[in-house]
Amino acid sequence: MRADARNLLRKLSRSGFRYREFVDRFAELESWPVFEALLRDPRILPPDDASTIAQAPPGDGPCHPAARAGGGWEVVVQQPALPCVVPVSSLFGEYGAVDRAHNLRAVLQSMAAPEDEGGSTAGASETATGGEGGN
Amino acid sequence: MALILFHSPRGGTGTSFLAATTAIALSRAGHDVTALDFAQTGTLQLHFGLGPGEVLPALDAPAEEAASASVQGVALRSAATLARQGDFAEALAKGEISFSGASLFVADIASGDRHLRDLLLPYATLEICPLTATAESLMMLPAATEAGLTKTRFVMSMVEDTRRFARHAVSFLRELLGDRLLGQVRRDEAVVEACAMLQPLGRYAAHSAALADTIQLGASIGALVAELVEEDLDAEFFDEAAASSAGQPGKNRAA
Repeated sequence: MRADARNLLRKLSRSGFRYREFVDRFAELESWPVFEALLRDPRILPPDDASTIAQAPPGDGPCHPAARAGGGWEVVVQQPALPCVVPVSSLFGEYGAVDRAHNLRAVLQSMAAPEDEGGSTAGASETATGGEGGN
Repeated sequence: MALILFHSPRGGTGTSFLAATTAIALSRAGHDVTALDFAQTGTLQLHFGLGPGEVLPALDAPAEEAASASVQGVALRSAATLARQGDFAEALAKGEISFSGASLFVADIASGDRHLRDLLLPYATLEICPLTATAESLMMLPAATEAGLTKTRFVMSMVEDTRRFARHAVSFLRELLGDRLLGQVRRDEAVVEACAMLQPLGRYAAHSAALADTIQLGASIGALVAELVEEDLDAEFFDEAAASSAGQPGKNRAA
């Protein structure tokens, strides 16, 4: 432990830090282009599913979902742009598919061998951390 | 009992650290644990507080020689030399090198040694693939999924949740991977300092955030392995029952 941290704890009569999450900020999730690039990768999503998220007209950015309707099937490489803030629950909708999170897990599980059971119900937008932190 | 592989397609993701701390956590949970260093870089033993001058006994060393290399209840063995011998694959297939029995084997495999990972995977109960919350690490994910995910679970390693992209990457992967993402371990300066002090993390910084995370992760991995072993035993039982009803001898697992 760093000397300054140890001194601070001594002044506070504490033996360790209580780690606090950034809870309020976990409520937001940004549609970084690298996420979309992953979702477009056929090794992550089979082509049939990937075509759903590739349904975007030229010049459409991942931050403008309303403009996607009626677009072509061409995969458009977007210019890197500042990510927009969207609720975590709609992130996968942002990529053009309803309930994308659920579908993604199903696809991922289907890539595994038949004996794999899968069946996640996870999907929390918050990261569960806790306990004593230090250093 | 089971072989647990720790391998990431990308280096620098804390694979050796996670292998070591998981082995210690499983040992503290009452398991008989052997940590296998397949990487031969010395980083695994460093997380047990052993410096580069300490030579681990080989996996095939006599029991009395191996008994001296036990740290925090974990038996440490070097397997790198053995794995590079020409007949290693054959020895695995013949059961001459076996991971059955009462022990849990935790194997640390170098990121670049994909061949060894592929060789050992059929004999493993579980593979843990650490990822960091970086774009570089995420871009390795498609390659990691190519070989199938039946036995693979992921861990977010060295997470700094004060960093925006790190938080978003964890959230994204939770959605993408579901329960295949076993947990996350926070970046902690104490890990680096413990290595520099040649001490296990638990001894150097008992309040370490990373230590708390790895203890939680170890519990998750222990429970998952127990579940998978149970499933394997059930499957083996039904295989043997089906074989005997068909008048054929049952097949055993290679390891």
